[in-house]
Amino acid sequence: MTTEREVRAFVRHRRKAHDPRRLSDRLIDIYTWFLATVIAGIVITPLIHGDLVPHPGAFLDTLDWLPVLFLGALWAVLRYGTWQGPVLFTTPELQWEVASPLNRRLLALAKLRRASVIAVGVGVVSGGLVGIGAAAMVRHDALAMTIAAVSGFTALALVAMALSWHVERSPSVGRFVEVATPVVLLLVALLAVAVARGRSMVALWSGPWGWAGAPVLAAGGRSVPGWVVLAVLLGVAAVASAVSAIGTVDRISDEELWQRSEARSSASAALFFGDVRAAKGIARRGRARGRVRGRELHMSRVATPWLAIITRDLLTLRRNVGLVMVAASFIAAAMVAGVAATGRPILVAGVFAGLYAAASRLLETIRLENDRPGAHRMLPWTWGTILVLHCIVPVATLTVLLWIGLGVLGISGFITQAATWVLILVAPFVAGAFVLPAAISASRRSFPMETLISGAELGALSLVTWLMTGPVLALIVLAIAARWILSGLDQGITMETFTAIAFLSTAIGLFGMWLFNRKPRED
Amino acid sequence: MADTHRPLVVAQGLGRDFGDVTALESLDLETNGGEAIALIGHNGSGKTTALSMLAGRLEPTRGTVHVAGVDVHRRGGSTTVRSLVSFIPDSPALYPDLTVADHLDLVGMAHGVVDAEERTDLLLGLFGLDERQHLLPRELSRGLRQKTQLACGLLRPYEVLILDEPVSGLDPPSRHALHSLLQRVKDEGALVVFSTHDLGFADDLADRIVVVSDGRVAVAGTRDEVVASGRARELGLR
Repeated sequence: MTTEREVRAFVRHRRKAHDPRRLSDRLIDIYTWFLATVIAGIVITPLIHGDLVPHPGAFLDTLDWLPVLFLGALWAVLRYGTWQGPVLFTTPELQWEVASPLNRRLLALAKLRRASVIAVGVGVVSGGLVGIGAAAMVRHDALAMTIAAVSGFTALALVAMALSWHVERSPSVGRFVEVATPVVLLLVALLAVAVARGRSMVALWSGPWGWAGAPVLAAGGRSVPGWVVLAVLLGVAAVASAVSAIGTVDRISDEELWQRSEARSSASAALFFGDVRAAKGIARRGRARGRVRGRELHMSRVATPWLAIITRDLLTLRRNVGLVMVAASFIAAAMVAGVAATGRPILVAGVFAGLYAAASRLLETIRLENDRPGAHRMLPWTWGTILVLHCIVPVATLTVLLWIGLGVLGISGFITQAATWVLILVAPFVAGAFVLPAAISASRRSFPMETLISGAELGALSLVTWLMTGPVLALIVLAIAARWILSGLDQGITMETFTAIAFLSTAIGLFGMWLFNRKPRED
Repeated sequence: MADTHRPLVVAQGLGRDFGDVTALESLDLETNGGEAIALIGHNGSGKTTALSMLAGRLEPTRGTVHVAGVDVHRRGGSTTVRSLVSFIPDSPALYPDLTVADHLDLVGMAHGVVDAEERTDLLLGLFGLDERQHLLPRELSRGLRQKTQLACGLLRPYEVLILDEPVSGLDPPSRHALHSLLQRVKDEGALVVFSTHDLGFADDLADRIVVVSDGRVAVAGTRDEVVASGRARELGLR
């Protein structure tokens, strides 16, 4: 009778026999790592001995942000666990190994071990880089800082991996992670405020994300009372979470493993073809676990046919309020950049990028038209007409968001009253000048990656053109209009304001014609 | 509904090539409102290509299609097609974020259907979708998605109803319901053109049968004429 150990050894042996990697491949790997280490050494050595930062203490302050960064990263790993996770089997493994009467625990343990090695690797590399880099910047004991950073980062990475496993194996924990995400984002913001106000101790004591940063700061010469306690706490957390992960490694349903395996192969296939949107959709559906938000919401009944598109677009935004929130965040960032832009022209680019990104996020229904080619044929309009109609709600939404932002800026005194009224007047036209070029971009499918692979230089040029069409069109129009809008902004509404409006209206009309004349791709 | 005495759809020498491959060599068809035409043939015989060109979705390589006297492939012809022709494809094309009920609401409003709510309820009941009207396409089986597509195509106003393999994926009760519905559509004066492998479905409904094989019309005529010719039997379709 064949023992289980023999079966697993046989599978391992057969796999090895099919491994196409030869000795020369492995030597190339070793050489690549050697080369990378030498280059890193050449870069890092002058940093360690250099005089890069005039005020080392000030640089040490930037390490106060580690807890904020760590909490964000930890939560990202937990969210990854809601649709993937550390224990992932391929479809053949599920079909032939997991389904067979082999010890399930040992099979899963091998996967968990592999995930732990990756977590430790990430911790060592990132901790090493931060430790050596920070030691060079603050001109402190490089060895102590590196040891502190490597230990902290590695322990936190292990905690993240182990918690991610619990998220993966338990649907209820997964649901909790999804529901708690806004609260955690709020916590990240609160920690950021605390750090910005010089209360970094609050962040350091707030949880494992803070405990991991404390030894690094202490090793850098900062007075961190109780850092040893925090380091011990982190070590205990890492050991406890690893033990609990090992103890529960076989407690996952086949359904979960199959779903994750299928999601992984679908997402990988989508990414292989450069279809990031499809991959994101797979991840989102995996996280949702079959739940559909806003199913109870319906379209408002309208009597005028073309309003059907408006009510359909409003339904999509109501079911995906997150899209509006993201757009609002981009606008807020753009406005902050705008207020701070005086004397710093680079921030003007931030204003443009923020507003374009906001416009782009609101065009979900145009992307949905692309997701299912042919569906538009159930409507009585041409493809071009449907695209133009899909722009109405995004323009209106962006206008309202701009008005809110401008109102806040005006009331807070960041811009004059006269300027506020000018900007409020031109906001709908500015919104149109952002939304329509973004719609031209959104109305295309994902970039055909085969063009990039087969087309050599022309392929790369196609990719750049594909990516930049919308932003460049918007940039040209808004750069011209901005000259009129900004000249004498504080003098209130003038002839220049109306010239800008006329110019923007013409540009919007031309963009609209462009969209109107677009043809659908072959279904 | 249409005047049943004028030709509603006229196809002359209609053909399409895909590169070097001829999908459809030549199809001639003159049909009136109140008729039902069945296109029968094996997979790859050219049925879908023919229907797609009749519906204005595919440009012909040669020949013309006129719907209500308008050349559908000339400039402005697509507007006529969109207002008069309801095309129901064989693979359901539904919006991924809209439920069954949302699709019917959207189609009803977009086409200005006056009694949309009443007709929606009727169609949902007919296809057994009333219990599933709040589900998204990805939550439906292929058959249920096909039923949703059929309901959308039947909800909107039309004079010509073109259906590509309408019974594929349907369960027997739904096939029966669709058969009765199409009979009623025909009796009310609309033209029904459909493709199928199911000769039983075509037999009772179709006034004329066009047997297509390898991109050519093998035989065309009434059911009895097609049976008498023996071509359908030769092709293994009967």
